Amino acid sequence: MSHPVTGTSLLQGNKLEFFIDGVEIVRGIDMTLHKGELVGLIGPNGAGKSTLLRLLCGIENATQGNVLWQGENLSGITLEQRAKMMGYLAQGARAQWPVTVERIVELGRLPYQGVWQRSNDTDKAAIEQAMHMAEVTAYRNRIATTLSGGEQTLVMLARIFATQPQVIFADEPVATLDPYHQLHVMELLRAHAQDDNAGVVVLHDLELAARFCDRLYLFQHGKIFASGSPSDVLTQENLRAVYGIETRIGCSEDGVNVTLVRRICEGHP
Amino acid sequence: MKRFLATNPFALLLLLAVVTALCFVGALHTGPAHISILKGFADRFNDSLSIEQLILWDVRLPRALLALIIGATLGLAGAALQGLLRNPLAEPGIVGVSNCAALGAVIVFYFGLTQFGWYILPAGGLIGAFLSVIIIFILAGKQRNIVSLILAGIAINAIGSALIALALNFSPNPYAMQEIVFWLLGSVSNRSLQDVWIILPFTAIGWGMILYCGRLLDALTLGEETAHSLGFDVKKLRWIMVIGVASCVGAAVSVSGTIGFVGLVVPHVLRPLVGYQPRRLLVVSALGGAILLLLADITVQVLSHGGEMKLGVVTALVGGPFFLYLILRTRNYWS
Repeated sequence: MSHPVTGTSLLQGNKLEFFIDGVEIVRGIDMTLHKGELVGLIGPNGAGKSTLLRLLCGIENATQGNVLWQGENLSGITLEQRAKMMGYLAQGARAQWPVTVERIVELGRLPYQGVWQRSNDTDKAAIEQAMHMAEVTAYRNRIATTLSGGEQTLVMLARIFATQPQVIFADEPVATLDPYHQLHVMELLRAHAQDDNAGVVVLHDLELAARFCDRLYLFQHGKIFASGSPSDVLTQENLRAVYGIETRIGCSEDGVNVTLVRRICEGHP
Repeated sequence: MKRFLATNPFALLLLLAVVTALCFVGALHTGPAHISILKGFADRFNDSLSIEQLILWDVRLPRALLALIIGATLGLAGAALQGLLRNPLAEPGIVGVSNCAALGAVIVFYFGLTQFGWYILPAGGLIGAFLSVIIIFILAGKQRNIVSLILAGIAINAIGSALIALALNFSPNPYAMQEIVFWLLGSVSNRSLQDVWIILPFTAIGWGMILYCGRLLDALTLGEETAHSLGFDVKKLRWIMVIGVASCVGAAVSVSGTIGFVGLVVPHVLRPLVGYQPRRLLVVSALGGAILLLLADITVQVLSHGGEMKLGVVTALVGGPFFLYLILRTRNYWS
């Protein structure tokens, strides 16, 4: 499934560093995102994956280094413009008021609407299309907070599709979902990351990362330990060094298979 | 009916606007004297002095206008803060503005400054309200977290209450003390049109700032980070909203004293009718607040014989138990 890395660079992070209260969370990371690819960020808890994701889409500003969007510094692009180009799926994203599914998806059109404006025909068409893509049209009138976790994640993805962004940033979108919904969410992200679009996804499931991502970045202690195609990154040596686990790596027509065997040492890392 | 109103935003607005207008007219007709309101208006424009004109323009109109403006302010500010904090139990007092506005007014009473002009009292209230916002800015301004803003508000609130208590403790004479206590209870009686004019600019600016941030409240339905990713400068807009709330609530409190529960109960009751959409709730809640305060003020006048019951006492008496009922009824829903 891996494409050769020849696409045009869409997003580039240069020497990114990020501190919180003097603690360095991200320590000098360089990374690139090309058109048409889905890039996976993997690594242990607290390795800096989610923080890097937020730096890349501009929710946090890097303490050092910069992010370039098609060669232009991201900090020079207005929030409104960024909102149309990038969609962000927060970790465990849930609606905070009991509003309808359709209304949640409609919020994806906010970047296109002025202060006093309501949804016009273009917005409505985009909302319909987004609900159709994420297959949530059937429960458009249900209250979002009463849906299952998997359904709510799909609704949030539909909200992002309604914005029609070029890049989707998803922070552990499948963490608490059943296998059916895990595959559904990953298939949607994969399908979006074609042509001029792209995606960055933080994952814990190495199997899904191998199946769906074109390239992986493996993180350890705020730095990139390894990067490249899934078969280059997901090696027994890398996983032992970063996670402290023993694995069996296999190969099948689905790509790389990772079997988790056991922990190697206690008190890791 | 509920469903019809939720899917037809203008039907609900129209309904509330009509009820507000009816309540306003009702308030103009309420009072010990039976006068012709139309004659009062006609005499004003004919420049002929009559008892109807005096009662209407010096007593009834200021009272009804203040109930309208202050009710709308409290309803709007309550809806804004509940949306901003995504908490149905938030109310204007939570950012510390009400108490500091009250403190400003109490200081005016304490030093007997009212003798220097009718505008000193509302001015004191407004200064108190804005000082509280500046202090909250200093305490929580650099923080991204909304919790630090609330905690700063609670602290300011407590300090405001303490200083009011101090003023009562050392009040120069029993008369001044009674004046302060009565004023604190909250009322819109015995005010003049001048009071309306002095608070109108501040309330109008506050309303404008809150409504300007309406889209932010909708975006916040998805959480702060997602709102940011949708193009909203959450930190900046949040301050615009808090300053807007301070401006209109501060102005309201500076004329009426503290009137509780309107900002808490009104958005809470009307929220299901707008499908829980925070932006649509704003104007709806403003109209609801105006209706509630007009009705409460009519009730106060109808029930009062001899010693007048204060408006703030009625809203608290009715609002408290009603709110308890709401919490019990929706307990399972919010947990």
